Amino acid sequence: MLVDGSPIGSSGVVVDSEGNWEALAYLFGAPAPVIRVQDRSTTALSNQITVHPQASFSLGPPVPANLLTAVLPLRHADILVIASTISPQHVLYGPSYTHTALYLGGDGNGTPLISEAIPGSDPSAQTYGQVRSLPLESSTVWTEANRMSGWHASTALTGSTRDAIVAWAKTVAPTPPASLSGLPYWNVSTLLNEVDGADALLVAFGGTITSRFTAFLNVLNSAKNSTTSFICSTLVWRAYYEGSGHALDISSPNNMTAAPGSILGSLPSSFLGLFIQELDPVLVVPQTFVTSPKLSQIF
Amino acid sequence: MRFILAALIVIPVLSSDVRAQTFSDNFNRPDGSVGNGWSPYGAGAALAGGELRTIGSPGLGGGVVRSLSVAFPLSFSFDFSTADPANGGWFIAFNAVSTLVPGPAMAQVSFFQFAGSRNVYRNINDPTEASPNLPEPIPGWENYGSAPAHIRGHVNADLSSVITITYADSVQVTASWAATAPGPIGAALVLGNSSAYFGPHFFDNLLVTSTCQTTPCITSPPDGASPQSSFCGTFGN
Repeated sequence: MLVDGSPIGSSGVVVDSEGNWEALAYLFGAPAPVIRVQDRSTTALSNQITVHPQASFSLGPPVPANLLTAVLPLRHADILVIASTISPQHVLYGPSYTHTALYLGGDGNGTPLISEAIPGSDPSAQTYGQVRSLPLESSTVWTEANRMSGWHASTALTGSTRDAIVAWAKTVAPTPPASLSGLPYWNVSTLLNEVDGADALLVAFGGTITSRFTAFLNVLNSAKNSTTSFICSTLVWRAYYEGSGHALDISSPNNMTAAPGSILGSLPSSFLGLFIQELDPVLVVPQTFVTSPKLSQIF
Repeated sequence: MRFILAALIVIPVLSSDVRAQTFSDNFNRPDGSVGNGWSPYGAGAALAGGELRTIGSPGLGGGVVRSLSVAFPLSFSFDFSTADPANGGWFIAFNAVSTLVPGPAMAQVSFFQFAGSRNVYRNINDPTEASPNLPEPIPGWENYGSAPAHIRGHVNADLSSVITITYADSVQVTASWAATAPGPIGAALVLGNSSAYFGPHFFDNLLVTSTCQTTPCITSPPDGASPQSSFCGTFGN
């Protein structure tokens, strides 16, 4: 990928088995940069396009340090997983990643779009809604993260599957103004209350699975499978599930863990394994994706 | 395979088949400024009810222009309707040098029609060539009205061209031209009315599919795009 004749990124852009490629090119600093791509084997140059990117600059997550070019290989339907130090998930299970979103690709003007679900208490919910699609640099992926990573399916998706994943996400997570009156994030307390409640019951009953414990899990399972409200990870998981015709379930296996010092991590070790095992099928979190053998890390 | 900066790794060569490059605009945006990289010219244009509403004026016409370089062969289509059937006509120019108001834009090739029952003209920076070049009103041809007609055209690399008009009542007529040398080559797409009369004259569902003459080929975004970002999401083949 050449911008004003100079290469960007370090590893180029991959052409898939269908003969297509995508690139997310960083352009800040040039008012009207000229973009071309070049075939590395023949040195043949593509047609050139001149674009007029937004003049303002906003700094994204500091990690990775090469973020601006690390995103170059992103393709539509790839997954972004980020870490934020302000997430309440730290208290619950101490994850290394706390938010996830779907990269939708560029719109007709090349603006990179993101689908994400965020709590109504987040300030940006007033402008963009809670379950929404919006430009990358307006998303919390960009504005609230300390660290970002990109992931794609370990088994390459076809173009039509990528299209279907993105189309499903755009349907449930529209752009403003539709997103302002669109679907909500889960009740913020649902995740913490249900997990806490199940946790307390399991301990109280000495590791016995009671009907009340199962009821807490059923609430979580219902929320996971809801298509009328989402958390970040259920939005991404469901988009993949529906877009792949139910062939790709990235919530399973669920290798989430609990870090020492968190609520779940403080469970007696004899109960922790059982508890996580019971949570696995009913709860999908960002940590699920970064530990999934069905996904591979891009950066 | 990988593209990159005059890179060093030997990789398989891309196939040499031709690639499509598409630009479309359904104008389904809020009423008012046209946006999407378009600028008005002549007597003006704006969005209204999900259509492009253009105003005619003596010696000016009116419409929109945007940056878009295209390669031939190409196909194009759009819907057209007018509030002034006797004087409602359209105009489209490819690789225009400018809108050059008044008069047809200087372009590699442009087409226009003053009313639905009149001849269609291909303009290669003058002289214009009429098709079917019959006395007007042409028998069997119809004026445009408030219901949209569909105009579809194909322009070959030698600029030989065919335009098919499907009126709102499904009647179809055709205009065609032989090969010719190109006019001055610019980098703009122009769409507007060809009318000296107010109208208004409406356009919708514009689609231009040109052949990318290169491999590799950037198919999106179009030349002149304005991403609302410091990044630009591109794709091609």
